[in-house]
Amino acid sequence: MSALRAAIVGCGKIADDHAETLGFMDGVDLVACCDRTRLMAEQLATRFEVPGVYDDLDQLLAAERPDVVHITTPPQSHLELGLTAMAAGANVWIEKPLAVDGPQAAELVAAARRTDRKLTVGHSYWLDTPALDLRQLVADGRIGEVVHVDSWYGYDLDGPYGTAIMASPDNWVHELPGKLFHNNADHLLNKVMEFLPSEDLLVQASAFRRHRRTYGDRRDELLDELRVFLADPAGPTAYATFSSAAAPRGHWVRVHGTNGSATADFNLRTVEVAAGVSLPTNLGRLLPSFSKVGAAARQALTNSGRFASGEFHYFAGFRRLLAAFYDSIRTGGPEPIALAELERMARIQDTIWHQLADRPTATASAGMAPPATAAELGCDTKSAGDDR
Amino acid sequence: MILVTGSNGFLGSAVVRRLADSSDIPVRCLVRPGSSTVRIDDLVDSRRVEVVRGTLDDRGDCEAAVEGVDTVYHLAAGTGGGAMADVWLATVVATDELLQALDRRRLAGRPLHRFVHCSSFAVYGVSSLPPGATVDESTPLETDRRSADDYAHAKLRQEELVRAAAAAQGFELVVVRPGVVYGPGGGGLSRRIGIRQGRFILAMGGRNLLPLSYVDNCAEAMVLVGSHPDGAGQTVNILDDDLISAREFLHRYRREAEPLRALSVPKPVTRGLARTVEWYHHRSRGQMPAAITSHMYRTQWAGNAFDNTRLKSLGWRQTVPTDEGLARYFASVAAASRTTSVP
Repeated sequence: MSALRAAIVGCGKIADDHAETLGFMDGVDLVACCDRTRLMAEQLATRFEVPGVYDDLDQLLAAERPDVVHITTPPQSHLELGLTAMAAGANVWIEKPLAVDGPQAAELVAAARRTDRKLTVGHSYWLDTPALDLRQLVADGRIGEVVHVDSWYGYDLDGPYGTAIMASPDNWVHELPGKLFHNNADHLLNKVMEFLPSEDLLVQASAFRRHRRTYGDRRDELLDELRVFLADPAGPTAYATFSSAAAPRGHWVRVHGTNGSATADFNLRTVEVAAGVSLPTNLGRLLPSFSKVGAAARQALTNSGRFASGEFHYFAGFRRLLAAFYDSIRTGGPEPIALAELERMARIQDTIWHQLADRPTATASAGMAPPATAAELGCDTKSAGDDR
Repeated sequence: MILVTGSNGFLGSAVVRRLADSSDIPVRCLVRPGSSTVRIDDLVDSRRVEVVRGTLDDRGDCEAAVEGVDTVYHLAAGTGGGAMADVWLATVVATDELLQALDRRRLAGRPLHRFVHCSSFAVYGVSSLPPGATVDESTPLETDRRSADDYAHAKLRQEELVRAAAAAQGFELVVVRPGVVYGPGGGGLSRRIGIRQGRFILAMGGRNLLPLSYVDNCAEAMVLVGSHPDGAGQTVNILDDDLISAREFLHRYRREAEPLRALSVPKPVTRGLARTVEWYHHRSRGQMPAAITSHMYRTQWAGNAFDNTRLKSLGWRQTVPTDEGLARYFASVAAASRTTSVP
């Protein structure tokens, strides 16, 4: 089988991960890269030995005829670039978020169906090892019926991406409807949405700011703490927390079920089943600590084995998702993330951004609860601007 | 009027201070919106120094910054350590915007007189030199850009752009290449000394000489060469006279600045470690980053001699002795350390 021809559009930070991973994949040739600032495409091409350098996607598509186009540009350009690539016959991987809003996401999904091209989005943790292990626990019935899910996503405003966002009031993140949250909400929400499959989710969101005002422009008003409550009419509920202040910068999901609960930690790469009290008297409170130590030791050994066998990459989930996407192209099988789920994610986020915008006239997406007011939520909204 | 980019940075602010001290020519400092100007605040107004807010990635800001300017001191650059895209944007793309603004001004009949470009020792192709070879202005530039680190790659491309623009636009070009610039307020330890993690350092520099340049000496040299009648068309390395070894630097640093724990790594071990890390990176398909490479060994730790004859031929003499420069630097690190450790 001949190698699939891949191209990258948008040569910023995240493009490095794509180029490096593609370089290690069998059956894939990275043939071209493109950035409207040609110098940016040039640096990526030099470092990863990419033969084709372009500053125009149409020219790239015409000259290179890629099988796959990786769109790693800011979300504001995803719709146009995605439609262009699919119209030219390319399958498309788009970095999260899929698009700026639900209607744009729906348009991309419709184009994928119309052109019979594969489309996916960079939900890098969807197939990450902790997510797979947790999913297996749930499938095996160890957790029982899911009652509630907690998702936590810590964000470092002083990290490489946060620094870029705060370096300029003109950074594209400030133009997104959900701003800082919008660029990360996929990672926060997709871990709970798989357990809340209804189209009629109740969504209640609140946000506020903790970072200090130091810029004298709109960066000072950037909200950096988000709380979202979701409820599925069928039963499960979820609470999603995005925090830029809490340390350490956690990244985990906890599933509470009728038989037990388990936590998948994406930073530590562990899955821990909560130990309960099973014996009477104080012995019942003494022994679980030992069982936790044993579980931690088994996890350490498992992770060590994975490391030794070369299955412990930093972005293992990203690599797995990339491999699954390319497999779906080769075999004609379904995409690793259902297209309908991509649309649902965008619709839920629309609802959240509407609520945060605090626009009383905003209408909720079909099937979702109307925006909640601060009073209904019992907490301050973005207008509560104190540093806290 | 002189424009200084990167003017609120460690070296840039010292250059602004030197320019203000050494002539009556007004100095314009281009500073990003929101960035601190604390290093140059005392110069503003009192000595014909003005701060203009703007970024080099904005066409309008660039055009406003170069208007009425005779000489540009270009020090703005990404300093490495972050993502390559950021380093490249701040170094190469920003420089391209600045040069385009100058070209538009030239086409409007207002050409620039002189451009003083701050390059770096990192552009030299040291990896192809035998160990111990002397690095001077005739040393070939790095050709293996794929192996070069992000900073070196970006500085190479940046210098290419500047040289091409000088040829096309006809302005006088002076290229200065500082070595390891150090001093109070400067960054951390040079990688030539070793790789630091927290309070621990793998000391790989050994007896290698460091191409040190104390920040005030460097600024003085840059202004001297930048304003020298014979500076046009010159490329000049900037480093001090009395250089010391990485081992001596680290010894004094640990004694006078911070009590780091250090492990000295002999050259053969460093070379073997670099090969092993590189091999494992490829074999594991990137499970561990190639944090140490053979190229890095050759450029950072194999050891070279350095020459500043050309700088001295233009009349430069080291003002702050290395011993005093080190003492000032270490004292500032120690003071900062005490400040951050106070509850």
